[in-house]
Amino acid sequence: MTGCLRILTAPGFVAGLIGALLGFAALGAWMPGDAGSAVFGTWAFRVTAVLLCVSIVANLWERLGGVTEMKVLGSWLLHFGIVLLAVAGTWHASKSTERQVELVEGQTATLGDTGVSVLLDRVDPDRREGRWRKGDAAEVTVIERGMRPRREVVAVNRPLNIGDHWLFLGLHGFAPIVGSGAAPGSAAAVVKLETTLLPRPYYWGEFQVPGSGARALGVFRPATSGHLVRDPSLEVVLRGVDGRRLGAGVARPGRPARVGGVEVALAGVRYWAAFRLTHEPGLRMVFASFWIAIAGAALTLLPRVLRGGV
Amino acid sequence: MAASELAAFWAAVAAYAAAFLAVVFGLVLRRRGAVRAGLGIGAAGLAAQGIALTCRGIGQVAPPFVTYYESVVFGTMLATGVALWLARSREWFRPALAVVLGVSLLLMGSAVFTAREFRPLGPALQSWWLVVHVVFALFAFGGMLVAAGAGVVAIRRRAAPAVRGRIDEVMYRAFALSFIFQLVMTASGAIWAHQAWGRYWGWDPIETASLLTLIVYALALHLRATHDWRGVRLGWLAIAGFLLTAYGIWGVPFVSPSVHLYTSPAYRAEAK
Repeated sequence: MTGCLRILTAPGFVAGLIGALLGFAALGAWMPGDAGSAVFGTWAFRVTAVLLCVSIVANLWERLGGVTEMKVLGSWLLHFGIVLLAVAGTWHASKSTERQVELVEGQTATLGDTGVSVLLDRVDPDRREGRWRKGDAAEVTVIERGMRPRREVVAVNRPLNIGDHWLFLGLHGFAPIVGSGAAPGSAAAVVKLETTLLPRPYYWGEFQVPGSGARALGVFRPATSGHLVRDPSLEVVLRGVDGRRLGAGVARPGRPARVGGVEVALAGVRYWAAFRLTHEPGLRMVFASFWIAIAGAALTLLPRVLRGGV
Repeated sequence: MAASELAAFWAAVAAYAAAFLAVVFGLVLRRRGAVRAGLGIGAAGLAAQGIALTCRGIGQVAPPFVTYYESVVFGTMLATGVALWLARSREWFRPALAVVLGVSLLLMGSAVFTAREFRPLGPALQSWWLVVHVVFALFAFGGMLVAAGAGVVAIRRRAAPAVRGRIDEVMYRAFALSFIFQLVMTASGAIWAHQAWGRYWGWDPIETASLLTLIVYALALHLRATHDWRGVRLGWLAIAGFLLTAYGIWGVPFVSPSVHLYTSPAYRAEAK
């Protein structure tokens, strides 16, 4: 026991662990995308993190044991918060699940094996001028097994709590219904367009023209009146099967765009939204550990900072 | 960008340049009058910077610290304000003020070359957590810039023995404050990320860099408390901490793609 404590509190051992942790963090920060995240899922990283947590507790036990000053209490709290964060974070990472789904207004999807289905009734973007905080929201009908369907609102930055799951509103935008030929709606497909964040936002997306091998880049510049879209039109740039540019045109309801022998018809415009459903045990403990660490840091460090007289 | 904001911004740049020259001139040639004039001009620049940010905030009806340009102006204003206040009555801190003014000038100069026009915030950014998260990140940056200024003074080893302890104390307190600010920034960012993206931590390069910064602050505080690191060694740590903080806030998107896109080169290219 004493030997273990001596190893865990040895400066060289602690420095080695911190060095390894810094190495992992630097590697994760430098490697792009998923490769960076994968570094933190390796056993080597987990073992290093666990050893560091144990070493923190051992060091505290040896250095601070039995002292009840406010500063020391703060130090205990700070380190306890960090260890709790590591434990709760690991628990959360190993047990949490998430599913994603993209819906167009009127569509329903069952979210994996959760027994929860969501019907997207309406997307309601907040178009109030002169406000920096907007409340884009989606009205959904939540259908849980054995329960009556109920209407709920999910907003950006305001997830919906469904039992032990959370439903988040993600990307959302316009979804033109495009078809081929003069008869709108024939072999129609719903195309989900993404938005830009320029001062005058527009929506864009690439899609295959239904019933044709041609691909199109569609740009939609909405003129809205409340939830309704006024005089919708879809600007399209068409490319043939071989990738050659066929030309550009504008499709409107009842007036398809005809470019290079390919027709793109616009049957109408709806909204779409992406949702994420998560199940996150241990999340509250993760957030609590943050605040415990902050309280500890404030208790142990602030008195000296505020003392004055430098 | 409104004319009043532009005028105030350039007035701040001009004032900081003049203040920097006056302080350096005064320190090198031992002219206290020049240093005092530099302090006055610096204070005027600080006021102009405050006016520029206020104009921008009112003009765009959104918090003025989201883009690279805005966060640089806000962060350097915090650091310069604290450095001017410290240097006002503490002669030994004035070389550190010169460092803070010089770095602020460089950063503001780099901000000139980025997109300065306002762009609407993406839905996920439209949250009060934005204010808490970014303001505390910039508080930490301001604290570390002051610590780095003091670090440069410590590394030069020219201070009198009596003053060295005070320089150490400034560095330690700046580290302690920045550690608390960085903790609050990380916690608020985690809560906000959970609300907006459905996950509190995703090992995004900026998140990882902020964790790395936090570890370096903790390392400095521990080395000071348990191994009595002072003077030159603490000075180097302060400079490293400052560089890492600046890299975490502004540098990462130049190296790796990040979900924190509002400061990335991709964002600026699109905004143009």
